[in-house]
Amino acid sequence: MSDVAFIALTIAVFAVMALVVRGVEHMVGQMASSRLADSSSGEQHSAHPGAGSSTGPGSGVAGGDVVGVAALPDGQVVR
Amino acid sequence: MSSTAAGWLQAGLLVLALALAYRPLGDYMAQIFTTGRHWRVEQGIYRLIGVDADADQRWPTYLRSLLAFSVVSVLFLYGFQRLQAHLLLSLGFPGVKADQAFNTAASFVTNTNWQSYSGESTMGHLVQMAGLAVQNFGSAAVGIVVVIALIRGFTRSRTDRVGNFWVDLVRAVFRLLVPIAAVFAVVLIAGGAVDNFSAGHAVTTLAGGHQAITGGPVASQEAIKELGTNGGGFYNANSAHPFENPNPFTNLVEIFLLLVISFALPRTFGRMVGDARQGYAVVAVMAILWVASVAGISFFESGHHSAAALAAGSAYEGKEVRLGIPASTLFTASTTLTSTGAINNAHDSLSPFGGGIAMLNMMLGEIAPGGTGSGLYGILILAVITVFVAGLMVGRTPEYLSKKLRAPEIKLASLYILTTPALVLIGTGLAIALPGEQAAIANPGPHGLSEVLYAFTSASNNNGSAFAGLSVNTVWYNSALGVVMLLSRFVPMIFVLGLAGSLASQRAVPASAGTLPTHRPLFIGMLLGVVLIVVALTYFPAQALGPIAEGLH
Repeated sequence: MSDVAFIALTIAVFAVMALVVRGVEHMVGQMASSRLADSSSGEQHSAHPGAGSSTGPGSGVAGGDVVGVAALPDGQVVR
Repeated sequence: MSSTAAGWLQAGLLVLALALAYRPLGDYMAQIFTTGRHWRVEQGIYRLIGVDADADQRWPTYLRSLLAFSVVSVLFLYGFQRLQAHLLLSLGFPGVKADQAFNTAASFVTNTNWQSYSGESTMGHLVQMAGLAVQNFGSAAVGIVVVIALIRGFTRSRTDRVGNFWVDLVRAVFRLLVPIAAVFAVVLIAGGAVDNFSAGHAVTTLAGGHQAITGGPVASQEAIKELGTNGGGFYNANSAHPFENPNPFTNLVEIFLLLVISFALPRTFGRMVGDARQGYAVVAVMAILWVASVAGISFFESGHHSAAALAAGSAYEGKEVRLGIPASTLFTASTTLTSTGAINNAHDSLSPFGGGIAMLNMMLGEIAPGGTGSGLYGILILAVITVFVAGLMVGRTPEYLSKKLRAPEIKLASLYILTTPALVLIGTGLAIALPGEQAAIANPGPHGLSEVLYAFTSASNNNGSAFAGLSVNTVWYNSALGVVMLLSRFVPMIFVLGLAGSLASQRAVPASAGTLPTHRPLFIGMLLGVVLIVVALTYFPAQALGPIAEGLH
């Protein structure tokens, strides 16, 4: 088998895994969304317990808004 | 000193060293992955690769970063081997053939280090150092960062952030693996392991034959080979070669290295979840399985009933006389219970039950203590299953570390448990069923089946040790085992990180009277039971046709 075949095989295996990621993401995302829906309206959430409140002055999020799983874009500082 | 006394002494020193390292190393690893401070050299790396080190990633982004890093690593290592003839320090070796290069690239990137080649007659020094050894660091770090992300899933609430893959990776390599490997490379050199750029010496043997003795940067690769639970040897004989593992002292150092991170990670886990007792419970399960395995293999190798073994007093075939039986069995149990796969004796020459236990060690999912990171996330998945089963039996609320275990968590844990056995058994079945591949099996009957079963068990559990007696350097075996190694490494990681994301999205629930305590002996016993039952039910038929049938014959 040639180099092209093995490179294609490698990419195909990782492509299959990317599909698995999509499937798991869908399953976990559904559950996370339902958990958010379950939470009472007006509840404030911190992205991380150690990061302080993600609402309030300077956060760009009005107090009382729900800040949850789906609302945070990549790059949010939570460390 | 008798061999038995030497064995007890070595085991005692090893346990003492591991116990002494548990707290400081575990605490240090927890500090590495929780501190907000970046080293200056790390900041330079982040700037170079364009990463915002202070930004955490959602778990799918973390996962995609991991997969992207890995696919690029596979392709780079593949190309590196194929172009070897044009590189420096190639020692005149041609490029590695395509199927073998694919197998080796998949093997080293997945922390398996299965080798269908002889290092000293296939790989030049540059490929060994800048290709294979680099992956020894990278693949070990990838395992560690996945378990750290899972632990964050337990500790964080109402978020889908599990950390920053690139930050975790860089820290695992530069703060943990490189410093320890550098120190122990010097220790191994002091113990007699070679480390040079020699292209080899032609010597005339006592019998008048001619032999080329290849040198190379061996000790520096040996340290990370064991520390990162990689296992790929510089030489074909691996740690049975006197240049890699010259004497009982280096042998003990190597066993310590391949166990130390995985045995200390439960401390990291306990520290990060804020309850050291959780770490003690996990490490207790690991230690019980490890002791049982060492005792079992030592028993069968010390008292095998074949004619040669009876004459020698123990099963010496395939073992190094300079190391002896106890040092061999200690190494065999430790290397198959981690994802190391380095060997200091020929596993194909183990007694049937001794070899069966080595295989069983891998079939357990390598959780005692397992590979760097992969061992801990493997046992945590089983802990999740245990809590769920306990909840079903006694009506307890299925909660683990303040997180409820609902349908998605159990589905992900179950998929994790099923992935590896499926790859082992389907792969073995295909190899046996394909007429063209049966010729690769050197031995007839149950031992032949054991050789194939061992190969797919080793590849699927990212161990990398070989039973031998199987000609795996064929296009089919190189391709099939390469694909199996990739799937068995990364598909379970997908489920682990999915579980981390699912747990992190939950709100922590306070423990109640209905919560099962997961730090008590009862839970340790239940977890042990689940480990053994899950494995026994899955693999017993295959084991019965292989090593058990051979042993009872």
